[in-house]
Amino acid sequence: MKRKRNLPIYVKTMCFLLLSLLILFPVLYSFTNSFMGPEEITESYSGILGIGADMKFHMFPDHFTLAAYGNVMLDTPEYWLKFWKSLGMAGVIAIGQLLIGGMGGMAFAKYHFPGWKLLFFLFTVFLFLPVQVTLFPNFLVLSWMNLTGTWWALLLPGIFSPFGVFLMTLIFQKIPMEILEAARLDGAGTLRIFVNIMLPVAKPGAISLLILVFVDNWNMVEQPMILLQYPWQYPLSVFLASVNTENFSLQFVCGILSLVPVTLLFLFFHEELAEGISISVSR
Amino acid sequence: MKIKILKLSLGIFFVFGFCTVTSIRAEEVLVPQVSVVQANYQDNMLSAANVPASCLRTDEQWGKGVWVVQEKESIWGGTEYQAMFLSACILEEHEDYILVKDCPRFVIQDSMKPLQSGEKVRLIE
Repeated sequence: MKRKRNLPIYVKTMCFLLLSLLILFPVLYSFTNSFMGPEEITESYSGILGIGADMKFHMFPDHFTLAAYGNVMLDTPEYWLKFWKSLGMAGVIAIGQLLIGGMGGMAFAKYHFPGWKLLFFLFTVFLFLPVQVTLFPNFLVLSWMNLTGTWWALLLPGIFSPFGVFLMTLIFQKIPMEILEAARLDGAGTLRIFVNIMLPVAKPGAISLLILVFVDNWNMVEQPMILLQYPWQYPLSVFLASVNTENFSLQFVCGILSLVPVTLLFLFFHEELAEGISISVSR
Repeated sequence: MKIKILKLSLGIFFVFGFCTVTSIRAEEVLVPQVSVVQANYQDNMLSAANVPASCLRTDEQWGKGVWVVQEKESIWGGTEYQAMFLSACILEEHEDYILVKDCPRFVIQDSMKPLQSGEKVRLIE
């Protein structure tokens, strides 16, 4: 009887384990290959490098070495300079979008000014436009403002993205009007209500917005390639594709290190992320 | 659990910060700074060039020659400079200048440290 009840759990566990392994395989493969030496890597990927006939499946290193980590982390500051710049850029965009999106969201959710429905509809429409569609208009506007080729060209469109306004509107709509009215009776102004009441009450939603925007901008590729002028200006996400094509272990190390901030952010805020998304989609 | 993850994150970012500072400092200390002069090419083929006589060096192994800088694309996407010793390239020696054949654009005039062929260098503006 007991065995019958447990069997489906084992099957489910096995299925989820296999699925997890399938999803995690590229990361695991990069992780294990990052411990290979240049000779072993060259031997394994001789097909891709054009110096051999085939490419071997080589998951685990024969000779474990941290040489590639030493190369990337200590030999030159190039990787770290890009890493910190990208981290700062993604962080500024995430915080900026939370503030701008939060204020816009509060206006849409709590101040029903004339035409708010039409404006919100437009925001929603812009939300569904892919990046590639808005890239050229963004480029034109930023050219008129003489901002192409600078990091402002990445920061401004990121901060003023409609996604933040849309998500924060949905989240703020769940907050009862009575809380705002009580705060107003106590003499709180709009800014105080936003900072001290709306944002703390909508904390899970705000955190989920922060994480989603951070991850989106940490991984941005098209915008820097179009809006920045020189390859040395590119953030880490674009740079990863061009890092040493002769020594794959360096590429694997750079890829693994670039996963660290996003992984830590998710581990730290995963409960708030789930809660925030469920609040924004619940009726 | 959150405290543990926070401590782990702080630890990891401390290591990253340490690596950044160490790598910047290591590059400052270990990579030799060199002052260079631009070769003054005598013909359109960019082969023979006049360089100041102070660039002439005598190496125990390779004999007379000049240290030059070769530009190379860095694995990180930018331009990297490497020192190379050009031997058996002196065509003429004069009091003020020397004539060098097959000379790259930058010739090293002075270096803070003894150079090794193929070594990465930083140019002083």
